[in-house]
Amino acid sequence: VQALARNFLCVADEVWLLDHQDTPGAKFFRDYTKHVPAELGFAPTTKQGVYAMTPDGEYLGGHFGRHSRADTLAMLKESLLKWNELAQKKALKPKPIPGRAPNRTWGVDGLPSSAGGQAGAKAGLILQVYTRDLPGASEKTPGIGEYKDFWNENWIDFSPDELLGFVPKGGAKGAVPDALIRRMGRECLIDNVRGQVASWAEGEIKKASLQTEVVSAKEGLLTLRFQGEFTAEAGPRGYDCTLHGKAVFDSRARQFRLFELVAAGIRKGPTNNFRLPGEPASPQGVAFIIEGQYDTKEKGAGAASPAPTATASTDPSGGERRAAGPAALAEWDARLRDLLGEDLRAGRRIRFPMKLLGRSAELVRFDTSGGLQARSDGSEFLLAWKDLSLEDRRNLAVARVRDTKPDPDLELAAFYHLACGAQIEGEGLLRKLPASDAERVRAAFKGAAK
Amino acid sequence: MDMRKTLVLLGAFLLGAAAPDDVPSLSEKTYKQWLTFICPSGEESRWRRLGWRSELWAAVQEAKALQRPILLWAMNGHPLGCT
Repeated sequence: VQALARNFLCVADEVWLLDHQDTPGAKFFRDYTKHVPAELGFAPTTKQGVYAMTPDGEYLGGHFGRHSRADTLAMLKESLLKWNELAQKKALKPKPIPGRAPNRTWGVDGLPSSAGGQAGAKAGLILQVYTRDLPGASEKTPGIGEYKDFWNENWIDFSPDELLGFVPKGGAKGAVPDALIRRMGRECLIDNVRGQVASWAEGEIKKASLQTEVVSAKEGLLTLRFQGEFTAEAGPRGYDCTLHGKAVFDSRARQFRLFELVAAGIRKGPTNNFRLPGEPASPQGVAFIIEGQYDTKEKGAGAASPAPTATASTDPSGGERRAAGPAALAEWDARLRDLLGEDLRAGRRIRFPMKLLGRSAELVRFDTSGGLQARSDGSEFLLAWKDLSLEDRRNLAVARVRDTKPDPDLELAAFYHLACGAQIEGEGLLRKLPASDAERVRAAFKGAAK
Repeated sequence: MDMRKTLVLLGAFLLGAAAPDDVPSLSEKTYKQWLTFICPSGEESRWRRLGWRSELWAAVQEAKALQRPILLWAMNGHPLGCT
């Protein structure tokens, strides 16, 4: 799904605002929905879903509501085929989509109003807030059925002045201002694990406090410890929790370098999103962190997937897959890319069974950023090299073996056969090679864990 | 539940994080385990890798410039947060 989705410019937005506001984006969305086939079946009150469209708002495909991975994959394939036909007719030349780091979602300007923030005014500290059910004493996993792995995400933003409220003033200990902890509780200490709920009203907050204490100070970095409690009740609904955490504040830059705050307690009562009347009270947790604070390095959107490795497993054909270490695989992948590049420059046509598309494809070109273009049934697909499965790379290596069967071609194909667990095919090719070449291939699998 | 969360949970139990009356016992010692448990795992966050833009109209302009189709995920509550 992700490999095909990379052909699109992906955007997420709030559907109620798109369906009701008087903004260019909302008008664009409403015009688009007029062309959506009736069978998509919008609900009377919402049009939430996943939709593919041209930049001019022409319908390519879509799903109302939630759909399976297989349905989504089929929708993306169909939409991409339609787009490729249009792009061909209009002689468009799609440009690479600039990567965007998976973190720093809202950028330096802060949270927009569509995410409940005040962009520009409150970018002093933006906390990412996660909610999840916690296991009870008799449970190994929290919650029931399909809901047990549910979690939700929220945000809260603070102005440069507000964030100073988390730091004790005039001593080692202090209390976070009431207004600050009450706002955090009102907006974030809510039961939205299974879906959107309203914030608490001010009068529904029965208890809210957060103590802050400097536990160490070194070179302008203050390590703070938090402890607090919060209770809110509204009829049958309520959340009663304690809070603990730690933060590191850079007093010179007046910024937090680390922020960890956890609330854990008991939620009760129904919500308008799948927490049903009659469900017992149960444990729920809320975590506040700075987005990306644990990252060791920035990762661009196009570089986030780990490098694929050939690991020990059972091949569907029955052979035991041999494991090539990541370094060996990277080396052979580089060799395959180089040779495929030479093939294309020499005008060779490389057709191969492409597992990702489920049909035969022809390699069209590589680009320097690791992208590749494949053509299938008259449509062209842009993909990243890392999206190709090991089997796809094996198929490429086999497809490029020339009629004269030169040793380097056979060597490469033999490596990928063995990496895919096709022992008979791999060893068969190795027997055609000089012993030293065959040994080089076998060496890639020695010492790697099975 | 993925392996990471199972291990975190085991650690939390060993530290006495689950009390008999079902109220999670949160303390200075256990908060970190609960933090890890509550925050999504790498697998749960994979969807973020697509480099999502956060406003449709800005994305329309960018898609026109790049000559690319658009994939819109629209939800009640912004899918990138505040749901």
